[in-house]
Amino acid sequence: MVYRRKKTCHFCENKVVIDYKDQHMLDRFTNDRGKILPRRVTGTCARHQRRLATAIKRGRFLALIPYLPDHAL
Amino acid sequence: MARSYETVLIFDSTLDESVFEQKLGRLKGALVDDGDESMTVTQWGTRKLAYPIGKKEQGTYVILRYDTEPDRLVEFERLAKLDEQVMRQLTIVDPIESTIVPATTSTDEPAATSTDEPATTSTDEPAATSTDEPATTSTDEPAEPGVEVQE
Repeated sequence: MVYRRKKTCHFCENKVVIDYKDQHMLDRFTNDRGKILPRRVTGTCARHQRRLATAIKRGRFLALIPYLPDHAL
Repeated sequence: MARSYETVLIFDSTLDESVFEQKLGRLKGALVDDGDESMTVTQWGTRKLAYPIGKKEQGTYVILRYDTEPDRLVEFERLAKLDEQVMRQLTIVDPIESTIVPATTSTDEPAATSTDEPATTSTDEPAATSTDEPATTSTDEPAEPGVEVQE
C-alpha cells in the first residue's frame, strides 16, 4: 500500500489571490517548457485552476513569463 | 457607469525620460480628468522581457489603476495602439485588491538605474524549480509566495 499525501489547493489553503503580475507564482505553476501544469500534478482546485490559467496567459502576453523556453527561440 | 480598471503598459525602454512622461501623461489624460484621485500609477521600471518583443529585450512597465467610463477606454486603447513606443497594453476590468510589488521593483527611479536588477532574477528561476515544487511541497512551500504578496 502506497501512501500519498493528499494534494491541496495552494490558493484555497493559503488564501492567496491569483494575480497575473506575480511572476514567481506563475513560474511555479508552469513547467520548464512554459506549459501550464495540470491540476493532477499541482493539486489546484478547479476554480483556481481556471483563474490560474487566465493569469498565466496574461503573464505570457505581458512578457513576464515565456511562452517557450529560451532555447526554443 | 464608471468601473474600475487596471492597465499594464510596456513602453520601449530606450525612450527618453521626458518623452516617456509626456506619452504617459497623454494616455492618462485620455482615461481620467486632470486631478482625478482615483488613478494610481505604479512604475515597475525597466525589466528584462521574458521574450523579445519586436527585437527589444527590455521594456518599461507601468501599471495604472483607475475608475473611468467604458467610452473613454476605447479612445485610450486607440491612442495606445497607434503609439509605436507602447509595446504592449493590457486592460483588466475590476482588478483584484492585492497589489504585487515585484521583487525587482524600482518605484523611485523608473527608467534610469533599474536596468540590471530585473535581468538577473527574472530569467534564471523558471526553468530550475518550476516542475517539482507544486506537486511535492504544496503544503509547506506556499507560505513564501503568500508572504511576498502581502509585502
